[in-house]
Amino acid sequence: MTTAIRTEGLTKDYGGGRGLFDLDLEVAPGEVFGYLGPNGAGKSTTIRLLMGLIHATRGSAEIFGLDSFRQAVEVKRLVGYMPGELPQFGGLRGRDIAGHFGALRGGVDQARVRAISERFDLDLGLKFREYSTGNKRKLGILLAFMHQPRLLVLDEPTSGLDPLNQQEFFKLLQEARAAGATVFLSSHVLSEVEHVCQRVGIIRHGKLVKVARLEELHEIHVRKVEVEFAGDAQPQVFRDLPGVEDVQSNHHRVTFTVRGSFEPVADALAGHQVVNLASHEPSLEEVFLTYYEDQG
Amino acid sequence: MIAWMAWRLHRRGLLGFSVGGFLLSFFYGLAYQSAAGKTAAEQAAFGHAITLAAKQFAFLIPLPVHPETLGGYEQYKWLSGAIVLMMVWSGLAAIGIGRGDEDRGLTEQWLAAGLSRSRLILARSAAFALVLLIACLASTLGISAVAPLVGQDANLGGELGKAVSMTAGLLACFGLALLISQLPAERQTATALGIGALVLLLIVNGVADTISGASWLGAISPFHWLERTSSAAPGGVFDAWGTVGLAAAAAVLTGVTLPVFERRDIGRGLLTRLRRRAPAARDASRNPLLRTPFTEGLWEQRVGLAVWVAGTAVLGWLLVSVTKSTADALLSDKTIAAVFERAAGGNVYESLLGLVWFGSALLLLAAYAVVQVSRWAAQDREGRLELLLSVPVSRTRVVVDRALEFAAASALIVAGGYVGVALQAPFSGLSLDPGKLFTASALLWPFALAFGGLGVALASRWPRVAVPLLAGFAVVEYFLGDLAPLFKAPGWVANLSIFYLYGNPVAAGASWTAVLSMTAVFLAGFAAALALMRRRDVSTA
Repeated sequence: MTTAIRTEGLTKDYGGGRGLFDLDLEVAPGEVFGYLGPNGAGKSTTIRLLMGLIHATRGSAEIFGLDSFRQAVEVKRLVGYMPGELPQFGGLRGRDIAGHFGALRGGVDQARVRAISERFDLDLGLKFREYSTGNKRKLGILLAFMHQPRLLVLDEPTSGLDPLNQQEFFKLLQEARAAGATVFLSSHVLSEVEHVCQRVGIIRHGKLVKVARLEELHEIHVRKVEVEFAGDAQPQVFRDLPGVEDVQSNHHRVTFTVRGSFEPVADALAGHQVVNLASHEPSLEEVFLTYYEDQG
Repeated sequence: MIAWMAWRLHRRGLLGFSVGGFLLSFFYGLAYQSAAGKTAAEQAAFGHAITLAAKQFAFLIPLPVHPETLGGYEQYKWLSGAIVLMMVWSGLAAIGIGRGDEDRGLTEQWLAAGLSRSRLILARSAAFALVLLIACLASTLGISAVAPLVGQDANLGGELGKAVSMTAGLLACFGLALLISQLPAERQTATALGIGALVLLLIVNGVADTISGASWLGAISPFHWLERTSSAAPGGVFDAWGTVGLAAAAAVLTGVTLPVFERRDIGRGLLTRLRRRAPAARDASRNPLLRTPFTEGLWEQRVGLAVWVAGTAVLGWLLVSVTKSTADALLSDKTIAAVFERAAGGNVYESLLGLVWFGSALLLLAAYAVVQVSRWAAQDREGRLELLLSVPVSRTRVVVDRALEFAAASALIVAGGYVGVALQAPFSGLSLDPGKLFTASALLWPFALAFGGLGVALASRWPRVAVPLLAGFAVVEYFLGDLAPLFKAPGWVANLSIFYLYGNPVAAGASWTAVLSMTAVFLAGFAAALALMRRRDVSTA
């Protein structure tokens, strides 16, 4: 089966170290791929290259086997795109905007438009400038999903949405995935990715530093541990242990992080009077930040 | 803070109008020497000829004062036009302060930073006043700079007086547009209303100047009071009370804006209607005009376009109405009649109509091209082009649709002007050849297309600077057409001006070379736009 997204050595060099460099990436059909990175890392540049909006300095990008620049029109028949920020439409009403983009795409089902706008309680009778930030995002969701595309390219889609609408958005995304759509979702909010993605790519300073399945990221055993001793804290017990970092103590309590096996810590605790021991799994955010620190 | 605002927020206008104004006053000075000659007798004859010819333009430009002198000539030939250009600039600056800053979120930022609404308006107005004064000084003092080169005495005091009067008058225009900008919620509507009001006041002054029974009307127009100061010409008058009155009007209009701005909500206009409670709409529009970017563009600007078409029709109607009385006034003087019939080389009425109406129509169409390019540039800047290219629409189609949109809109404006002129012509007493009138009107279209083609090319590649580039090009083209004959430049130099190239077809017949040249400019611009749009990156970042 043709790969949904394939890039080889994709580079956009803005000079001064800014841009995107040598991106090699493959996203399989039906996959939900999270594209993570802080602001300015190169997420939007990648998306604009995939959408054929900007020219690559070198390398190539393909969507379902089509060159994303030379065959841009064919590519966009297959894609639903939600930009990071919806443009200004001034006095145009939501229904005019949906009607315009629906007509340009062709084959948009009015029932689908109605269903999405009802689901998000989006009033298409209002002028664009009357929309709140959240309503503008909802309109963006409608424009991206209304034609049931094979590939969804979503740039920070839930920013500005309230929690209830975020949940509704994730349901919509799951439905699209169940219907066979591929999703490329860029975000700097990790909880967003945790909800829906199967694989995650982490980008920093324009370079892809890691691609992993969600479980693989969790399997990088970084744990936060808090030990409460009956007597005074004894941080020196943990300082030289393999995989232990960031040891801090406060009265009876010692906190540290453990990477990899927990066994050396368990051995070191033997013989000490421990009142309480707490260890929690890392959130993806903590994994992400740890990864950045290490790669930095 | 005011100096910072003046520089940071108006630097393009400041540089364009100051440097451009100084250079143009300098070149007009050199042109004066070339056209007027060096002896007193030659200059007196030249001044007499100018005075005679000026009567035909009295509707648009005040009659000259001592045009045999450098200052009098420049005041008539350059400063009168400069005032109209600066009026548009002042109006747009006021709308930008009243509406544009709000659309860009700047007003919210300034208010959030602790600046009061009144202080914000006053600081922005004071900054523009400073910029305007510098531009007016540059435009008038250029005359003194060139005076020694053409053997004339400098008239610094008079030029200073003219600059002060211009600043006061243009600030009154600014104040009016600033007040109007508070009324609607949309920038486009505010621009149409603000600039429309200023053009109306300009026309009112023209009517007051040319129709004796309507002279009382002039009192409501700032241009009437502005033209009472003629001190740039030796022996001219500085109307101190008129200037003080204009400054007071500017202060009052800006002062009235303050409580209006205090009263309304950010993001809304004073006259914005409350929305009626209605069931939420859930369906996409089925409007067939939204099916292509070309027709969507026309649909979106339908109100503004209707104003352009109606405004052009009314202006055409009005100018045809006064053409005969102006021509008859000219022809009643045998000397003038002889000069004018020789210059016209045919039907005097047609010739005068060509100069007065078609000359104005050319300027309107060039201005419309700038407005349209500004719209495309905003679509680019605000991310609409990016979203448009995210659907199955090619870059080629974007350019083609823009060209079609411009072609259709400019054709409507040309048609509006033709209807206004053709409807009034039979009642105006003019014996116009309907065929020639139609041909001359139709030829306005390739003229507009030439500007549109260049505009499409500029907006395709350099959207951020397309507006100043096209506006600058239009100004250079206009003054090239005006100055080249004065410098007795070869024909090909004058023909580089599209304004000159259009000629006066209602009197002299169509020049198919000119039509082909204008069409070629359009096609070249269009082809360049196709190539440039394909090569560029589309990104709001």
